[in-house]
Amino acid sequence: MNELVREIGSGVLGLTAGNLIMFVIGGVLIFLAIRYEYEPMLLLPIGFGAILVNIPLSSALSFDGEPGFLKILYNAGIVTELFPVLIFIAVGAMIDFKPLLQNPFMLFFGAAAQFGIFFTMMFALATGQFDLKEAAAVGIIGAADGPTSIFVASKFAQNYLGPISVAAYSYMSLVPLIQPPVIRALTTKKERLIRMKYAETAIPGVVEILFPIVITLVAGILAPMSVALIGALMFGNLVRVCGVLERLSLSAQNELANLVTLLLGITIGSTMTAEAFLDVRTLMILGMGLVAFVFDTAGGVLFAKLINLFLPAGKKVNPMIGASGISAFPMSGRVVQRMAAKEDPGNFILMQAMSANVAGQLGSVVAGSLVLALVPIIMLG
Amino acid sequence: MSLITQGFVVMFMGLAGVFAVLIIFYVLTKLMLMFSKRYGKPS
Repeated sequence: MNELVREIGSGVLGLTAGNLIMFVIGGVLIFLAIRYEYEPMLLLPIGFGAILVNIPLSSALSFDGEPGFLKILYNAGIVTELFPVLIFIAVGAMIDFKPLLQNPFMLFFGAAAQFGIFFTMMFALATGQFDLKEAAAVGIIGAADGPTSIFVASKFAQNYLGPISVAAYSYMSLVPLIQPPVIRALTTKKERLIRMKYAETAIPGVVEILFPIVITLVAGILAPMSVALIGALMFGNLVRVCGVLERLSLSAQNELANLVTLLLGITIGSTMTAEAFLDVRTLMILGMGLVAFVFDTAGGVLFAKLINLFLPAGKKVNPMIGASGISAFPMSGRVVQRMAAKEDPGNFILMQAMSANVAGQLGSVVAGSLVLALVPIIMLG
Repeated sequence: MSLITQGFVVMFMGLAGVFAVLIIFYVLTKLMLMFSKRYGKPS
């Protein structure tokens, strides 16, 4: 009887204020996911995982010296980086590179809009609270790409995987709120009214098939660190465009994406113990995530304005397109088109915005790979 | 190298690297489109 009372009482007696706060935080994430549909596929599992792991002596983490299911999932999918790589295969199968192939010039906006990653990394370093690896992991929130953020964070800052993931996914869903004020602040009305011509050109099937293969080979040879990310992304895309693997493509886009997302979310939530999460640095990470998105937007827009200095009248780029160079697809492209239509209902720049948005997906993966490659080298040197 | 200096090095090399890689992607894409137009089957 005493054993029974001790067993039942241990959960209650083991509760700390930190656990209770984490229950509230987990609940808030679940609320945001359900009520406002803020990235529900990730935030709900993360929120629930945070609740599970903060229950004292939770058997989800360990029981009788054996790892619980959350620990097993963490070791199998996060420590090994398997989960984000599998998500990349799924994302690759979802991406349509045709808008980008029709407008390859948009690749440069996909590069410029990664500025926020590096600016935020410097910001994090300037606070004095993070070392270079941790600062790089915080900066990568600016990739506006969940799997990239998780991949880099699990390599460089596993302690901060929870807040980095929460920040990345939360701000991605807040793109319609974050980007417009930044765009308006950096552009004039005249610039926002710029119309861009769009001529739809047919992209040969062979180019659609060659694109993922060639990109993987070239990126991999130039930066072997990128092979896991770019290779997985392009593998998924090749399965989509080859035309003979419809079933695998659909499975990758649906079953694979959904299953891995389900497990990834709850596993990330399992890292959010009170001890790890309730730290002033967590609040700083959440704040710096916003900085990353703001400076991504600013980087893309200012780059577009710079390009316009060299383009003749009639061929100028609407600088808002630069903002859609972030990887938050397709939200950012739609935000830009909505802003353009608000200024001028006849202005249709959706296709250019989508091209830049797709370019941002490539740009973010390249940026993440470069960060992974450069940081250890610079730290050694 | 101080931490901030290391950060600046990563920042400049990283940004330069992203642009360099995407410029290479741009060139490759243009080449693929050019070759497919020249040597591809007429539709």
